[in-house]
Amino acid sequence: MLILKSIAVAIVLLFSSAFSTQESQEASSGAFSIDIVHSTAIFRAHHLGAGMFYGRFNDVSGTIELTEGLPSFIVSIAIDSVDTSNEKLDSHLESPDFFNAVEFPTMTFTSASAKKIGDEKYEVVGEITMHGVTKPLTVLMKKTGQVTNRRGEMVGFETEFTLTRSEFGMNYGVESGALSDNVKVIVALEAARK
Amino acid sequence: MNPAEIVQFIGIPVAVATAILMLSWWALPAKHLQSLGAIIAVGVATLVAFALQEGLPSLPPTQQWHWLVLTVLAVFLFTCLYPFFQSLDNLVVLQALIAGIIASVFMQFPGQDSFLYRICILFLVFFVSIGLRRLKLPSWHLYIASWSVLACLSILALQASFAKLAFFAGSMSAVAAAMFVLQIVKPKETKSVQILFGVLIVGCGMCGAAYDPSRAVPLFAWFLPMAGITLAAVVYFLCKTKYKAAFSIAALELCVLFSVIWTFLQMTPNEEMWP
Repeated sequence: MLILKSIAVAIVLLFSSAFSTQESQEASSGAFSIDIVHSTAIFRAHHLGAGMFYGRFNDVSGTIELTEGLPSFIVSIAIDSVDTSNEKLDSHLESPDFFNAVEFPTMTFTSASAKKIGDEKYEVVGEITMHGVTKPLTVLMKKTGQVTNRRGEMVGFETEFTLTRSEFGMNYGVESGALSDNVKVIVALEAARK
Repeated sequence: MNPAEIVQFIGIPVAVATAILMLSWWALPAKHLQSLGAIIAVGVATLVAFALQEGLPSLPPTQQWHWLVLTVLAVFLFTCLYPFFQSLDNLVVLQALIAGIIASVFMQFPGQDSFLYRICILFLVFFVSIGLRRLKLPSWHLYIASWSVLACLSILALQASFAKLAFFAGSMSAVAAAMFVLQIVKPKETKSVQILFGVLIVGCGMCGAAYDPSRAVPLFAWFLPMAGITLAAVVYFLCKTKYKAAFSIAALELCVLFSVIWTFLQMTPNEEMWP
């Protein structure tokens, strides 16, 4: 009887272990669609060498793909969604003085490779295209969470990096010191499984 | 705009144009070559004014609005040849037509690449160039009209949040003002110079309209000053009084003022942007 009980427990454990492995593999692979509402791109520039000026882009979209736990990203930001809480400033940022939204309506980041460098931290190598110029970009991407809830399976990532805007042909106010050449960018992504 | 920027973006192009024009008084004394000095002055000042903002233009340009300066340079090359063919000096209409064709081929602003826009550019350059300088109009008329219209377009560009175009049009307006003063001081032949200013005016207007999708500046405001140039020429020919030149300029300034005032009335109060 004791032998039979042990066998039964062993079978249950074996099945539960196999099921758990399958679930874990599903969780670490698959395509996720970036949620525009809960994703944000914030930028910060030094204004007149005095204060820090913040703005954000409200329309961040794209796809996150998890392959055996490693993420890949295709992120697109609509330039005309720039929001500084000042309409006049928004228009100026959209003009050819800065982003030239008429000619270059989106800014994109496409990753090429990623490697895990720590607990939920990844070094992601890719290319950023902004203002018609494409440059390589390596970012440190932190996985902020992965859950399954009533909205399905969701994943979140966040990164922080600095861009030199003159490298993208965006030189307005650099020489005069009106606005800094280096712009700090924070991108926070939330995505739901497709 | 601080004093250093005024010197850089406006002072340098004006100084360059003034120096070239004054040098040409000595270097090009022959009557049929006198206008060449003014043509070179405007052409070089255009390149300098643009380069101070964006660096030297590349071909093809990295941004479509750079076609503005490339068009002026293409027309500049054509205009430089003109004074050497003295027998053609009176063919203002043909000259304006060729400049219009060149401009309609080169100017490629966003959303303006259809055939209709090309025709529109051709006719605008044609009428503005002819309006700036008919044979009987006093030569200073060309400069004073260019001065005020480019200044108007500079203000409109600023209202449309396109500061680089505003600086560019503003500096070319200052160049026209300087040339007006020099023309009063020492009157010289100005044939063909109207073509360059015509292309500059049409280019700045079309460019401003193309990069203002939210219509911060009413569409007609970009084109009214151009219509004012042709209207000024018509007023000059219709007036029989000795003040006809003044009436002609007054007609143009009315259009310019209406354009600027209407734009300001349409806008919400302008809060401070970048300095």
